[in-house]
Amino acid sequence: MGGSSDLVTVRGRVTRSDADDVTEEDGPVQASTPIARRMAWAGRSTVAGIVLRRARDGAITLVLVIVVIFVLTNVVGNPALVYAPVDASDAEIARIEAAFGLDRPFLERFGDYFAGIFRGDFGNSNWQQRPAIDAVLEALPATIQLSILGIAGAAFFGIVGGVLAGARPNSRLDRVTNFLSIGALSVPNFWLGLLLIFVFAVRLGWLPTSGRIGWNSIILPAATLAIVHGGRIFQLVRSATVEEMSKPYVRVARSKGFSDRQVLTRHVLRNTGLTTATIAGWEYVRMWGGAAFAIEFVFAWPGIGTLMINAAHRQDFFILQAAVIVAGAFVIVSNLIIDLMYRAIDRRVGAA
Amino acid sequence: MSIVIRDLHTATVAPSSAHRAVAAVRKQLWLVCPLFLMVIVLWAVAPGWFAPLDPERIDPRNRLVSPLTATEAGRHWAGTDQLGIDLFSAMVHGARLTLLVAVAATLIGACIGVIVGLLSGYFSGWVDRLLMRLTEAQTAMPMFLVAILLLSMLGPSVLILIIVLPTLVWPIFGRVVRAETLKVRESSYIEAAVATGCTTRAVITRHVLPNVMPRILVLMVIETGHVMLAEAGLSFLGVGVQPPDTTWGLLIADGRPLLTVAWWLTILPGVLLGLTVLCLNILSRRFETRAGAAG
Amino acid sequence: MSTTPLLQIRDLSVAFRTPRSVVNAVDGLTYELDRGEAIGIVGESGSGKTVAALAILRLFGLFDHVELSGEVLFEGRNLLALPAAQLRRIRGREIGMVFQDPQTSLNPVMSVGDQVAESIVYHTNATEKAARSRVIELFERVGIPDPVRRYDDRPHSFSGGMRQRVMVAIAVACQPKLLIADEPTTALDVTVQAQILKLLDELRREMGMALVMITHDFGVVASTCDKVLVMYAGRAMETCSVAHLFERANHPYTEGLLRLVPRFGQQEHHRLTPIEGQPPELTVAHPGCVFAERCPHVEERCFTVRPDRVELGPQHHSTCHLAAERAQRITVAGRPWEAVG
Repeated sequence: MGGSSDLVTVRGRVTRSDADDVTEEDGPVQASTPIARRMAWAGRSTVAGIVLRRARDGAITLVLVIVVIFVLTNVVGNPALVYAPVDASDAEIARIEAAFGLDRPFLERFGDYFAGIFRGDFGNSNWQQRPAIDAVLEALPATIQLSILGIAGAAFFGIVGGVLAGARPNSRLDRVTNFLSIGALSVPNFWLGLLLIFVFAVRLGWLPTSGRIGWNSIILPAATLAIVHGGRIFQLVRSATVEEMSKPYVRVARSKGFSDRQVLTRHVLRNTGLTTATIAGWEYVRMWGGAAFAIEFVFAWPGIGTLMINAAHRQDFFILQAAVIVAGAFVIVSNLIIDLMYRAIDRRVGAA
Repeated sequence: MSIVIRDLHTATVAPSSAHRAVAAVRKQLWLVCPLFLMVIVLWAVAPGWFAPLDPERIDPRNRLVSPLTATEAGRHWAGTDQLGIDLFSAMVHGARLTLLVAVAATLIGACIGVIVGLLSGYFSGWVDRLLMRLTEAQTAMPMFLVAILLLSMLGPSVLILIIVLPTLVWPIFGRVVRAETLKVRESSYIEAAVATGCTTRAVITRHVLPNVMPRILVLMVIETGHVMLAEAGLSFLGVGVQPPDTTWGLLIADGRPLLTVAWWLTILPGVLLGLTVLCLNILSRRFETRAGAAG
Repeated sequence: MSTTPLLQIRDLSVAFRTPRSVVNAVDGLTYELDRGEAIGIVGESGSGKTVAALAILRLFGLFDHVELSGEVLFEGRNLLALPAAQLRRIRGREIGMVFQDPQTSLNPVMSVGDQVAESIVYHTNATEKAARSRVIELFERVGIPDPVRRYDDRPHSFSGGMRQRVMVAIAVACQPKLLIADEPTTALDVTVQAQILKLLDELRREMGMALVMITHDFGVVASTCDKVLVMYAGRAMETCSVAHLFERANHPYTEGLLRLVPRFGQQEHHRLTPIEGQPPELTVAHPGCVFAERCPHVEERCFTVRPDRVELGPQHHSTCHLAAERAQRITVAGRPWEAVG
């Protein structure tokens, strides 16, 4: 026993436990002896099996999300208060509850709601006077578009910068970019957006201040996302590169006569490529955890974020519920895709 | 013949005394961070001493004055807003709630996360799987949106904020503590403790926890910064702190409509917030290498 | 006939500068190596032998702040002063290196064949096909079975001994004039060790390479090297030919080391006498002889005056104040360790 990647058998099921993550693998496991390797190979699952298993996990999580949201809105808060005028008496509130069917047993209400979701009925928005799901689906493409452009920019800055800085640690380039990236992580992202608006839209007038009109309106919000998330990607890629460069095989490569740059491109990048891809993938998921939405609001970008904030101000909980569930579903699906891609690349690279 | 070479990237001569001086200064530069943070803490503790003017003082004749201008009231280091209120004083007074919310929420989140992580890492088995599923489920949710949902349903207030914010942060503590616990669990001193009949609770509290503590402390520093940013974001969006309370996030929001004419109202509080979080980040990095090396 | 030696190390010093201190890993090292000759550099861990080997090709880590002084003359050119571009042409081509740990010394995501081939392609501009067949030849020569199929395999499917053979293949791929081997067998099983050493010896004679063998094992030195250099705390204590080593070891440290080597035919109650004390700190300056604290024959002046490198014969140098005296006594009294032990 020993080392950071051990095989641990837990009740007949082989789990691989790294220092930072336990992933239950029913698929091929890195076994240390030829015999164990052959045994693991015999017991491996097919690709389809893994996909289904992950999909099942994702579905369970989604159901959990729906439950939690429902509980939060209906149990912790009281939707009746939304419709009632501020000074309503208890009797009036009770009447409103009855009118909306909010006085029925919890499970019945939940059952209705859940069934409704399967039909695509997320309730009707009071504010927009139409099905909540319509409003959410209308806003979704804008968010997807912005998030993709944002992560592309972030990946570009973060990966290029991280590799260059990691290859030459403590050089001036490294110190400057490192500091800038920490700075990018430290400022509030919405404030950064406002700063960019001020400099580029107000003072310089090069770009529109907000909205989704014209092709160049996406530049500032995407740039804001790129800077903030790029900073984090930079940090992670940099440390992965530094770690890789310290490995013994790098010295061997140099002893063959290659320059540092050649060693980097021929050897190190191949090894860090997988890590880098995963870093970028997870950062995309994190983007959906919150940053993207605040920035949408700042730029009045008509995506889910702006929709949610406006709905929040108007206490339109149907839209709020629908938006969170749809966003949650998107995150779960993205997780699934990224996880599968990671496994696919991992297998091809054949990490030891 | 004797040649002194600095190897590799810089095949230059040995450093001159000027180089050495600069390097020495650079080494101690990080001390700026705890100093800055102490100033902020002082602002939070005793705003009256540091704020030149009363933040509620309305002065219509000096509305929207730009930074560094002096008026009869004094020098407005950060300018004034549309009511003539001195922004610098507002920022000083805003420090208290900003810090309070961030620190409190981080502590609560840390407590939850540490307990989860210890249990998960030490007992493994179904406990571990269950808790990890919960954590995974939560990370799958767009927590920020959930926070918005909650705050708008429950009515935003400082109290609700302190309850909601920890949910953003406890999974990180859970995961890190779990990983550390797994590592520590295999050590021989744990075996020894168990062999000498230590109760499980004692083993965890007296042996595992102290060894995990350095990492926890470092993580708390950096997460306080994250929570501060999250609170600012929520307050900015209107679902966080409500007036008359102020935090820096709210100040940024207040200044937004006037961005074109009075940029300082939005930009400066953000600079302050950014600097604070920056100091926290730099400090946590510094201690990370120490804690990692030691523990 | 005197020709310029292939490799001349003159007063080589290597210091590592860390934020808190300066570590003098190598201090004033001097030795020579002719074409086709083999020298074994022996010492405990921390004696500086590995650093001395890395210094030849300036292969220090990326994060090391290194200060080098002295000369490393390879075919008359000082490698320490050579611009990086020219040094890179020498690495792998004129001078090859075999490293210590086969587990981590190979790139895990590249096939072993490619890792050898890239060196060939880079230095000789050979085509990929030509390089590939050359690699297969090499694999056969170093003893890797089924080389055609194994070319595309990754390092993790090889055992430690096989990986080390790949490392040897990498080092000799371009037929270098000098091969530096840094404890090539330390991480291997005993049976495999012998095979690798035999391989290195054969290759050396076939290709006429000079060899610098870093090791802590006198047995390795005795079987593969022509001469030996004993290092302690970064300084050279003694250099002599292997034949003379066991008969006429002069320096007290060498003597002490030899006494630790158990030998067949020794009397049953002959004990292994360890050298008392600990190796010194390399961060502190030592005005006198660096072995003074542990030397059984120490005198006053050993603490204050640094001993000269005394020539006791052709190819025999000892850095000790008592070198000349001891040499006389030895030739009179016979085998040294029996006399003292």
